[in-house]
Amino acid sequence: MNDSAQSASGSLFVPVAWRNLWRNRRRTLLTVAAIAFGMLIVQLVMSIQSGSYGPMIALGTRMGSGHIQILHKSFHDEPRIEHLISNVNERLSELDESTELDFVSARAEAFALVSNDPHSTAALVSGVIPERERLLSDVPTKVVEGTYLTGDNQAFIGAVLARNLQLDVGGEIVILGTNAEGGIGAAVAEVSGIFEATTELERAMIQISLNTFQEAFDMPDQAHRIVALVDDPMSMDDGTEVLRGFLETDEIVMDWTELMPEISQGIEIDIVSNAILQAVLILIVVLSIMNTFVMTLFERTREYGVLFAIGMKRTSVYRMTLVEVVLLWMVGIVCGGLLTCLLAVPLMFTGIVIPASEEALESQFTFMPSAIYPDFSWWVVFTAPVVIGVGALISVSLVAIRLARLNITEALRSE
Amino acid sequence: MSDFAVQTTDITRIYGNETVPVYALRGVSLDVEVGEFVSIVGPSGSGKSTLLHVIGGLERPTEGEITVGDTILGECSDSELTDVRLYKMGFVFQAYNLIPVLSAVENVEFILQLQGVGKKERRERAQEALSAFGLEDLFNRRPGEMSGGQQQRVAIARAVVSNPAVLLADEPSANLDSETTKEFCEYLQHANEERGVTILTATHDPLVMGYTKRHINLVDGQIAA
Repeated sequence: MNDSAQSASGSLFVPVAWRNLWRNRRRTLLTVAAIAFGMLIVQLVMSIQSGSYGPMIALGTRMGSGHIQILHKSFHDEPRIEHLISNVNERLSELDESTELDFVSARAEAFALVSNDPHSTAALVSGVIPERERLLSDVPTKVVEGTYLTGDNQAFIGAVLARNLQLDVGGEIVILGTNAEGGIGAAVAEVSGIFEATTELERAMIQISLNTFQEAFDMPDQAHRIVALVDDPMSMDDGTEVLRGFLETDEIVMDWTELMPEISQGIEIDIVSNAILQAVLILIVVLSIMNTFVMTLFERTREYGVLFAIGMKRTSVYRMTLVEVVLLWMVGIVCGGLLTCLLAVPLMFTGIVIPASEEALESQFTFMPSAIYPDFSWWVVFTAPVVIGVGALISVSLVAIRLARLNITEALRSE
Repeated sequence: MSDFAVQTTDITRIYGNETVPVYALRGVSLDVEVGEFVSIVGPSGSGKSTLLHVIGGLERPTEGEITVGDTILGECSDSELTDVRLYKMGFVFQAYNLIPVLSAVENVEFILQLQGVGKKERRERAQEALSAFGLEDLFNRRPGEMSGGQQQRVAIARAVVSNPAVLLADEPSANLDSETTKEFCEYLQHANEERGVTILTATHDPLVMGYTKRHINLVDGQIAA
């Protein structure tokens, strides 16, 4: 007379539990529907979240910052021309060899007066290495007239800036600023192309080659940033470590979460707010499962009494109840999985178009993509079923406590 | 090995609390020999069901000692008491209390499966037990598809299939008409005589009493002379 016999009778629990589940068909179907729709919504929200962060980060970082940068320790807070980094060419050559980094380039930046007589305005002049910039940034792809930079003494300017200065492709633009020594820095460049991106960039940005910039502002082999892209912007530790190995005096490494905190904070807020929504949804599903089993306990009190009376151990009755929960959960997640496959997975290929986003992108500096492609990664697929399953087991364990305290003779007398 | 299937000594069962105690049993002592067919009779509220429940280990007496075969129930843990019910007792209830989602044969098999009996053997024994009570055509019927009398016979088959030392029947004829009761009692008698099962049945039905060999009269929780 031992527990092992009843443990061995576990195979009996499955058919009994399965049949018990369908004794109240309507209630079971409602619970299954709650699990399935809850799972669908949680998976859809998570997949949209997961699918939107990548493009958001890509949009933000490829319009400027890249993923990781080396810069002078003061440049981020005080972007002054004298906050330079040196030995740029040598370091770029060595960083090109790193397998942890996808692309690297260098940039120099200065606020300067740009003019096309008699028109002039202030602009952010950015010195870039054109062939590297094409791989690193989306700005070169935004050309609407002419071409991107192909060599030195050329300028690639925003459409609004071109309009304000009444410049066309082939026109000459004069750049006048202060160099690192406090002297005058000046250059004349021919407009090779005009781009349209965000209003902010179009109005106030001009790109010239890094060579031209270094000559104009008297800063040979110097720049303000070494910019790198990594494979996965959510996992930058290795790339950051590589860049740290190339730091010189008074330099620091910063990643996009520090350089563009508005994106990372936006993502964090989004994750938290959606997590709350998902938690509430899962709680409703779990309470629905719990309700099913509380009702079951009340309806089958006498039956439980009989099971105890004829010699079924309380642990066995508990195991049988758990089998019922697991079966209910399995039916629910299979139905939920089918719903997800039918309704949500196709969106991976068609995308969810956000009509306002393209206009917003044109009118302001926004990092929202114009279409989101839900990403059904493993954690998106498994999180909802696992959390619902664990929640169901915990809630039914609470019911089981009541089961364990059931008085057999009172149970036998119950209606 | 004791000659007695059941012995109770000064059993008292008190419900309620210390300020308002309700005595269901007051010092009940009885001996039931192996193979006896005994009815516990008395009016409603006399303590018949409570006596069966404490003998069956479904609840513990407030005072006194119960021995089933060689097992002293008072010395058993709850888990051991469950094993006593599984291996030494068979129960037949007033409301049949079969498991509604299982067929007749599965209901009978259930006990054997809890005991860890192999699939083939338990199926054979279950069918044999059901056949012994005239249910060979109803193996696959679920309780909802059977009459009250048929369900009660399945309940006896379930109770005796594991060859328990004692079968306890609590008002087994309460929901049966007289013809079915008679038929049911004949099956109880069959279990007693052919299988040697000791039977204690609580009843106030004279028809059932007519089949038992000894009556224990319970009045206000005490055995009357």
